This record gives sequence, structure tokens and C-alpha cells, in this order.
Amino acid sequence: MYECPGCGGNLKFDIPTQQLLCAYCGTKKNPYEVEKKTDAVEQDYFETTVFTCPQCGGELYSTDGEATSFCTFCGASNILTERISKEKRPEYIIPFKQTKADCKDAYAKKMRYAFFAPNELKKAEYVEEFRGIYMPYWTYQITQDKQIALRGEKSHRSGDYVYTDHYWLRGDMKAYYLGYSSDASASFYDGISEALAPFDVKKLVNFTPSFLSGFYADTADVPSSVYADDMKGLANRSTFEILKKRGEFAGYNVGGCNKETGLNTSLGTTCRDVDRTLYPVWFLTYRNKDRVAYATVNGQTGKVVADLPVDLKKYFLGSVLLAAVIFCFLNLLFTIKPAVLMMLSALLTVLTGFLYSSELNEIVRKENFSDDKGMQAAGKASGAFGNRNANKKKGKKVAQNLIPIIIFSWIIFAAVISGGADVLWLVIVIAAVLMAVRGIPRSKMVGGVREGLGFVFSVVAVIVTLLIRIINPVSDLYYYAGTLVSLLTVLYNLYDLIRNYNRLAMRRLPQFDKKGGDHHA
Amino acid sequence: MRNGCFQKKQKNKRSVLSSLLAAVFAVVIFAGYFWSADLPVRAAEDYESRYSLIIEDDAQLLSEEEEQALAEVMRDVTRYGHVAFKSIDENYSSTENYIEDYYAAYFGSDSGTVFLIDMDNRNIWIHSNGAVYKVITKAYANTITDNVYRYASDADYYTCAYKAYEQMTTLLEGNKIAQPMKYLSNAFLALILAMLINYFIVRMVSRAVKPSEEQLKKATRNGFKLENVSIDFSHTTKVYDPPSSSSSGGGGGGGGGGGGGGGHSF
Repeated sequence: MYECPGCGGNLKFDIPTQQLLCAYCGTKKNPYEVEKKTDAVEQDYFETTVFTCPQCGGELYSTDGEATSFCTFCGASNILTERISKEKRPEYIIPFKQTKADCKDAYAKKMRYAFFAPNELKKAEYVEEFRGIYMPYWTYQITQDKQIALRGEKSHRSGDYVYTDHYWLRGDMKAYYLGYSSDASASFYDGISEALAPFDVKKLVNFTPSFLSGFYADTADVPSSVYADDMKGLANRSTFEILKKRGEFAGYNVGGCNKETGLNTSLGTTCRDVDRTLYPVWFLTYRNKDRVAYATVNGQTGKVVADLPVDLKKYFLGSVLLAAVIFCFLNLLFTIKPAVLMMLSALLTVLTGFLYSSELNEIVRKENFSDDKGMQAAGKASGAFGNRNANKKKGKKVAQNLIPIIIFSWIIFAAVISGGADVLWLVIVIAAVLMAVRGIPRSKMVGGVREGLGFVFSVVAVIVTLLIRIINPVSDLYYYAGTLVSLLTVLYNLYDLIRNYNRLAMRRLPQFDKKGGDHHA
Repeated sequence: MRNGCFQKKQKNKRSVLSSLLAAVFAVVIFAGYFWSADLPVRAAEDYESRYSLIIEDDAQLLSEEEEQALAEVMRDVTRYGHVAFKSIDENYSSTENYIEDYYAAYFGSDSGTVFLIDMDNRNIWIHSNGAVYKVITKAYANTITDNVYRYASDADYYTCAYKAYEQMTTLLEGNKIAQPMKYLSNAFLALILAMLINYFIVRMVSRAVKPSEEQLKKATRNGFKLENVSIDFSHTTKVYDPPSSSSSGGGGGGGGGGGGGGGHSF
């Protein structure tokens, strides 16, 4: 706690004035002029109060010692345990620029278009729970100093030949990028921190612990080396773009070292230093059973990144209303013959099957933290799916490239030999086979929940409709029966799609990823 | 606390109920609109009929009495245009091509309608033109043939044709014919399309847009300097690549005649 020299009250950082302000007597103080003994610049560590959630094990620290009543990470309403601790002192900080009111406005603006979000997410008392947290970031100083020698070429035509003149483009290059940043907290998901960027590092100021008064801060637990290559890659691509557009080199089709590993050497890219920094983020947690959703607002720019779960009741009601409009529109337009209707419904079956399959893939990636380097470094990613992917990456890539070519060739072939509806049926059958091959084994990997039925139903529906198409009965009833089977499957797929979307839009409770967390909470 | 919880539940129930009522109200309004909008356009009547009535039963499907009875119901159609019944048991083209040629040969571009039973291809077909086609559109021709094909399947050709002309007259008089399967299938399709559209809306709104690399760079302190630039020629390569010749395509073809219709196998 920073005592007010006037009345002894608690001085807290005031965003509009960028000063420490006493709420009781109105005294303002420059943050650098108010220091406790333990805040001294020459010390590597400073004293803080660390709050630990008994349920998820999440930790936040603060310098004003004011107790908090809920956990930002898992959303549990608990009395958090607190202890005095020493934290490694960051070099720089970007103080909050967006006030809580600005943050709430930005969030409300975002929620205006979230038609199907639960009402609770829009309630004033819930939005009031936004909490200012300084997130730990690594800020990299990337430099490039090299006598470069890049390949360039110019082409011209003469008769039936194209001549290419090759050149060496040389020069003494110096470049620097100070401030490419990556988050240093495993609890702060990469997907959120990447979307919340950028923070303008030109506004960095020297850190002093009094900036934290009235706010919380998260601890850094991801080493800076995890993201170092990514930051070098950003610098390399930027410099390469500058060189390509550079007046002297313009028109020479600069190339020859566009592989990132090659560029590190060709451009002499090194990471000169990495600074510990704190960036401001407004944080809001929504908990629903065993899932949490986060809403975050960049405390410097006001950019909002929010997990937006769907209220199923709202979604289905909205769909019925929209369906009424589409129904009238369809009736005014045309009458679809039963055979065509059945074909359309089979097409919708495979389309929703593919959507479902791609959503399951996303869920698997998210649950295994395959896209989250911070989580992987902190050892929280299960990795099973990711490793499997890595082993098969090459073969899979070849297969992925070949499949569309094979499908396209078949479509052309079928179009030549038959034409019309038969081609579409062929597309449906191929798509159904692909869906079965890709989807059914993948659905088993998601595990736990009753996934996979949608794929089985879809394949059965396509087989039924295809049989009806082959038998080609006179009575429309068969076509309507086939259509009904398909459309019920589509409805089931869509229901699963939106139900699973909530798994995608929300996250597992952090206790499932933390050692020592209460898994039964 | 329990009382509060109960009140909250009641409130939730009320809000769901009011939402449902609003949805039902909206559906009723739309259905009402649709009901009035879907009424077929009424064709202009010609009481002193100058239109012809033709029955050509080449496939010998009707008895004399049946032909006379059929003529009675067909006469109602002549208030709006020519009307013909044709049955064939040999056809070397498609049913659609045959009926188009037949119509053009007998009625040209006049208003009228032909009902064809093609025993060779096992199809029934309705083709219309002019004022009659404005009412008995392709969609309605499909609906009528869908409604009557079962009689043809049971070899009851008279009832099949009779019901077809009856429904044509109903439409021409500005009334509605039953098309329950159309509404049922459209309702299903509409619900699925609505759910899909809403799903894409949800995905679009929840998309977290990552900044471009240019935006990330702008947020850094950066600098670039290049000195002592030299461009040194190395060598030349050549590739045989003759210029490809290309030709432009011709113009499009002309338009076809008017009219149209639909049919069903039996």
C-alpha cells in the first residue's frame, strides 16, 4: 500500500491523470516520487502481495494489498489466499490508458453484434467485474547488421526464348526492431494475446511498483526463448519486404533467400536483448459449469477480444424467425421437384458434416493447446494430437494437396461422360466418403462426449438417398422419405455444431491444466 | 434466497414465453403475407371463347364417355386459352421436346395449355404459353403433375387428366391448389438455411482478428539503413518458351420461344 502523505489513505494509479491519486483527500503524486523501501530501482526484486486461487491455483500479485473476492482465471468466487512475496522487477511498463468506462464502452460495442450471446454477458453488474491486470510480456530487441548479398534477376523475351540476367545485390545493411512482443504468461492464451496486439512500445516507461497500485499483475512463467524465433521471423520478413521495394533494387525481382532460416544468416539477424515488460489488459471472466470464457480489452488501444458463447435458446429462436422469412421467400420463388430436393438435402448433409468435422478439429487443437506455444512450454499441453500431427505432417500435406486434384479430375471426368445432376451426385458421394474417412476416426480422438454420431448418420443418409436415386422409383413418397432422412441428419449435425461451438468459444477450467489445481471444483 | 431463485426462474420462463409468442406472432404475420402473396394471378377471361379444344387420344387410353366428360372440364380452360389433351404410345424424342413441338404446331404463340400422357417414356407433362402460362407456371405445372401422377401409375388415365384440368381451372380462376409437400419441404429447407446462416453469423462475430505484420511493425521502434549498394551482373540463362497463340470465342446464340411447363414420370 502507498500511503497518502496528506491523509494516510491508499494512493492508487489514476488513469486519466496518469498520477497516483488519493480517493479521500484528492492528493496527486507522481508514481516515480512515491516509493517504498522495497521498491528501490537498484534491487532486482520488489515486494508484492500474491493472491492464489484455492481452486485453480492461479496467481496474481498487487502492490496495494487489497484483497480480491474472485479468481480472474477460473471465475470462482472465493477468498483468495494471500502472502507477501518478492517478484522479479520488470524493466518497463505501459500504464493503463483506457479507463474502466472506456473499456466497458468498447465491450458494449462489441456485444451489440453478439445477437446470440447469453444475456448475462451483457448485464451491467457482470460488466462491472472488469479487472485491470498487467500481463507480463517479453519485449525483444532484434538487430540486423550485415554486408548482404542477395540474388536478383531481370527477364526479357527474344523470339521463342526468355532470357534471365542474374545479379548479386550487395550493400551494408543495418536494421533494428525494438519492441516485437510476446506474452510471458502460460495462463494468458496465445490466441487472445495475439489478437489483442499490438501494444505501442513507443509508450513504454520505466517500471516502478507504484504503477501497480489499484491493479493486479500476472506472473511470467514462459521463457523468452520460446518465441525468439517467431520475433526474428517477423523482423526478417519486414526487412526483406523493405529490400524488395528499395529504389536501388526495384525491378530486380529480389529473391534467393526467402526461407526464414536462410534469412537469419543472410540478414545477420540476432536477438540483442529481451526486456521484461508489463502491458495493460482489462480482464473479465464468465464461468458456466466446467467452462470459462474470457473477455479482454487492450488497456492501451481499447481493442476487444472476447470469447462469445451462444445461448442455445436464443440461437434456435433466432433461427425460427429467420426461417419464417426464408420460408416465404422460397414459396414465392419456385417449386423444387422431389428428386432435386432430395439431392439438395444430401448436399446439405455432407456440407454440415464437413463443418462439423472442421469444428471438431478446432476443438482438438484448442484442448491440446497445439497452437499455444506458451502452454506447451509450460508443460500444460497434452501434445498427443500435436505430436501425432508433427510425425505425419509431411505425408498429410501431400495427401491434402492430392485430394482436391483427384476430386476435381473426377468431377471433370464425370461431367464429360454424364452431365447434369449425375455430376452433383458424384460430388456428394466423394464428399461423403472423404467425410467418413476424415471425420469418423477424428471424432474418436475428441473423446468423452458423444461425438461421431453425426458422421455415421450423415453417411447413412447419403447411402439411403443414393439408393433411392439409383432405384429411381415413380412415387414421390420415396424421395420425400429420403429428403426427410437427410434433413433430420442435417438438423442433428447443426444442433451438434452449435452445441460444440460453445466448447470452442469457451475454455477448460484452468485447474485441469495446472498442477495442484482442484479438479473437482 | 430460494424465493429469489424462484422469482428468477419465473422471470426466465416469462422471457422465454414472451420470446416464443413473439416468434409465433412473426410466423403468423409472415404466413399471412405469404398466403395472400402466393395466390396465383387470375387470368383474363374470354367469355365468347375463340379458343379451341382438342382431344387426341392416340394411345387409346380413354373411352368415348370419358373423352366427353373430359371435354366438359377442359371447356372451362378455353375461357383463358386453347386447351388440348394428347396421349401417345410412341415417342422418339423426350417428352418435353415432343410437347413443345406439338404446342407450337397447333397453337403457335397463342395462350393455351396441353396435357400430354407419354406412354413410351412413362411421363405426364403440362406445357403452357401466353396468359395461361402466367398462371400455370413451370412450378405449378410441376405441382399439378405431382398431385395427379399416382392415377396414371394406377392406369386410371381419365382421372389423372380430369384432375389435372380441374386443378388448372382452379388456378386460372384465381384460387389455390393443395401443395402440402412443397410447404413441408420449404419449411425444412428454410429452417436449415436459417440455422446455417446464423451459425456463420456467430462464427463471424466471434472471430478474433489478428493484426497484420505491418501493424505489428508500426508498434515497434524500428530503423533501416543500406549503404554502399552495388549491383553486380552474374550470368544469363535462357529458357525456350514460345509465345502461346490464343483465339477469342464467338458470340452467344439467340433466344428460344416462349412458354414452358413441367411433368412427372408414372
